[in-house]
Amino acid sequence: MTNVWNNPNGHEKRLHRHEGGNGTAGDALPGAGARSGGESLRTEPGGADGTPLLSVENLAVSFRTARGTSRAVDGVSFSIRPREIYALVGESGCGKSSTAQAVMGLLSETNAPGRRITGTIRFGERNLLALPDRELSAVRGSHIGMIFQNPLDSLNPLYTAGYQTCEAVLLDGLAKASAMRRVLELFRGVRLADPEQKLRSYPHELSGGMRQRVMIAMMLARHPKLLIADEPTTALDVSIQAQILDLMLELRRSFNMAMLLITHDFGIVSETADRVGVMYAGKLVEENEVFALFDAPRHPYTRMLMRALPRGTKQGGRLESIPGTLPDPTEPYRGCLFFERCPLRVERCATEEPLLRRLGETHRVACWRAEEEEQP
Amino acid sequence: MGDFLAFTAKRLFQGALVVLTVSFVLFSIMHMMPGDPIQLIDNPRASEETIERLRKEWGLDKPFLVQYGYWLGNVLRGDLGRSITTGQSVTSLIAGRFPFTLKLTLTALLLQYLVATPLGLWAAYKRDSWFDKCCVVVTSVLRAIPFFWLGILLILVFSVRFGLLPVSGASGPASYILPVLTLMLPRLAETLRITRSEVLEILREKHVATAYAKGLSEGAVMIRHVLRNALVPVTVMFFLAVPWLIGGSIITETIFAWPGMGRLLWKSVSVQDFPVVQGIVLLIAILTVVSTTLGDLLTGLLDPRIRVELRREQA
Amino acid sequence: MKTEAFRTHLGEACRNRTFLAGFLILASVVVVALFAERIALRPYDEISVREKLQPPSASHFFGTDHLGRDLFSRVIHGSRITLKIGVIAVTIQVLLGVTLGLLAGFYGGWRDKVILFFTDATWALPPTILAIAICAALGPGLTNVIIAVALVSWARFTRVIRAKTQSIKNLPFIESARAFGENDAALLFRYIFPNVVPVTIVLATLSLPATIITTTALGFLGLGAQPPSPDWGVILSDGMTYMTRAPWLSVFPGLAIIYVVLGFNLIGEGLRDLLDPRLKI
Repeated sequence: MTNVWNNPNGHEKRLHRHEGGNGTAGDALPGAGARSGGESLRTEPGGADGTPLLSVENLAVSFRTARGTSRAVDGVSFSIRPREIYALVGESGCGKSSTAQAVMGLLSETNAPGRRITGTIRFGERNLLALPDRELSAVRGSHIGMIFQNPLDSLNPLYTAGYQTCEAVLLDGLAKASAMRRVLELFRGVRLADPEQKLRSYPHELSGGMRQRVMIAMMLARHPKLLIADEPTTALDVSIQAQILDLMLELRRSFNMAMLLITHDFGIVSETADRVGVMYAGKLVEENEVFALFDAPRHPYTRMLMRALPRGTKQGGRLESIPGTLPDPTEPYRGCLFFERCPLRVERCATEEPLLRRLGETHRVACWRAEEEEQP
Repeated sequence: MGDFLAFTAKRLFQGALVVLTVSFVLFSIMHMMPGDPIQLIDNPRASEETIERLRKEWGLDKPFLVQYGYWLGNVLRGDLGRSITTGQSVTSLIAGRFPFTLKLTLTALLLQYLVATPLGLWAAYKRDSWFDKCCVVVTSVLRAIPFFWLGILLILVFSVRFGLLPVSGASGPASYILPVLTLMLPRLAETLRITRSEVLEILREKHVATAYAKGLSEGAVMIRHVLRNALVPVTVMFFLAVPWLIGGSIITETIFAWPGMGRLLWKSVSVQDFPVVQGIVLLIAILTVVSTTLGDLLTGLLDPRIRVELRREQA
Repeated sequence: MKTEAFRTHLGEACRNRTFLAGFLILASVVVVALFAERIALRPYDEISVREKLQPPSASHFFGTDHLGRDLFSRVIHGSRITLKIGVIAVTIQVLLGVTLGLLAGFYGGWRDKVILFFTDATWALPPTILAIAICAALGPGLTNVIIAVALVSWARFTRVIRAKTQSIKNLPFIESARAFGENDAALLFRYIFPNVVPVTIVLATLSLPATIITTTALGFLGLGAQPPSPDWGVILSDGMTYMTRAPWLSVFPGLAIIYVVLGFNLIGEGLRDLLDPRLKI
């Protein structure tokens, strides 16, 4: 029996039912491996030949605002390998969402007036920023999928969940009848209760968790190789967050997808990511493999961030706040952008901007004092 | 579907109630007018008996509510009374004029939407382009023009100065041009602006980003996720325009001597011909309620959330 | 603290070009209205049969009307009437509409239904017609026009304020105030009312244009201020009679109306952008 989630190479395996899950027990979900209690959730990073799936080089995004040109993303470079989970972390306003949207080509004149995007976003062999609209549409959905934060606004209130998901499926050239059957299977795959009913439901009739499942079904319908998730669980009830996250990770494994996860929650990062990039004021300030980052963060901002941001529901102690505020993205600057709030600042930091440089095989930091062993 | 029918029924009932209230208020106002309507019949040959007979015939000697009852009964049978000035049946008077008003207002309404909606959509789609900026500036000024002044101005320019178009009367297609333009232009500007801002709002909404992210082409996103969503406010505006146009037709018809209901209304008000005024105002009330109800129904069809809202309102 | 906030707001307001344009226009209108006697060199009701129907000239900037009165002066003085009617009518609309909206939104239940019913009933007739009906019932005159126009348009305020009140009344800070023992009146006036003020201001400013046009229309029909009052609608009505001989009688009052209406439109839009851009009016 073929199933929509069928991985060309994979076998069907039975999975254990998840606690509090929303779906039917014993769902068949094919995948590269079954998931059980103690197994690591990580996939092996690195593609067959090491070439990255997505390579962002010197991405800069700016908008025109009432007070001048605002730098949302200011020269960011990173890459994601196939089947890897890369988390982009930072405070709100640091540019992580804009980066994601730039990759997806979602910054248009209307929602981002006066936007200027420079740099290269390489996916496969193509530079996404240089693609004409028609080809970009072909890439979106089929090669790169994106899940947004607030599913209420993200679904068109005038169409049923079934219709909207079907729209995605139809893009693969299926006939109408088989498309609807596929949508039904997709809904089952994301563990929506009573999927036939959900086909005919409107977004406002569904709960937040259900809508997010619909969104996931919609975006994974065409088996993209890269999934961008922009704060996928932030707007959801705490009780649902874990379920949705688990669902996403499972599906990712089944598909062997890479994932760019945008979040501000270090708890999620620690549980899911392979590598992490920390952003501040539009720049990437530190990047490392996840465990290495948690063990030894080298950028002062990373360390303060870890102490200040939530770690899921397991709160240990108080949250500290970072003194000071983000620099004004419309003002020109000199030196390091973190200067005002940095406890380690020295004279050099005020005049020379520390560029992101390699500190180890997988570690990059943008700080003049990164190599020092003794750090408070 | 079930709650849509309930929704419809509720709206229709509300509408009927409103019309009834209006009729009652109208009747009361007219009844409380100073002066005896009989006296206003300027017929020196009317003897005392005739006057008394008329008084009885018109039931003017009965108590107020009974009179209202009679009147309502007549109305429901299509009898709106007789004009005090001409003695003609009000119904036939209105029937003669109504088609002209209808032609004028419908033309203005359709033209207005046929022009304003695409322009508004395009201006929003090409936001901040020279076309858009032009639209905004031009509409800002056009909206500020009082429509009746526009009528006068148009007459001055096109009829008086250049003798191009007829000033008055409904004598053929050329005579439509000026009155329709008068009724239409300032509202066209308003509609264009509102359409533009509604579409801009929709373009900013997240579901449009989702549509793009799915991989839909630009055309598909625009039509299925932007236009379709814009249809809701556009429909609302369309049906709300009807009452305004009817109201505006009074002055427009007066300026252009257009033989429509509006002009009749105004003339009747000037000479205090109550039955005619009553009849026309009642008809207008019905038309207004019908069009707003139609608008509500259509939007309920178009936007599933509205049906829910109304259910919640009832609770 | 409050002055500082005010100054920042003022600065922000001035940077908004729409607001600034509207403000300048309105400021000029107010100045003209206040100093009408000084600006218009001649009195507006000075009849001079010899000078009737003169085209614009150095001595009569806008020309004269059929009674030889200086049109420029009449238009200038007319601005007072326009502003007066507009402001008073809208004030009544605000008082009536906002109060009813607050009550309907706050209490719900039968009060809400009754108020909604009357609000909907007002919408049963197009504003012009309703205004005419009211004027016809009450008789001509400035006061009656104001009443008519006010009665016709308060419904808009009620609708918007009601919706806003409904969305505010369930917010946590109201709940906690209630827990503190605040009674309904206090809740309404000290907590909810301040939050509907911005909407009210925007709505009021945006209502003025329609009010002004309606009153002018009523004046045009003869239902407003009576001659020799220099009401713009009256002048336009006179102008129609002498259209062929004295087109200037029709042109200038209209331009004046456009100027004032434009001013209110711009300032209203500017205020909306500043105070509550999500408002879809």
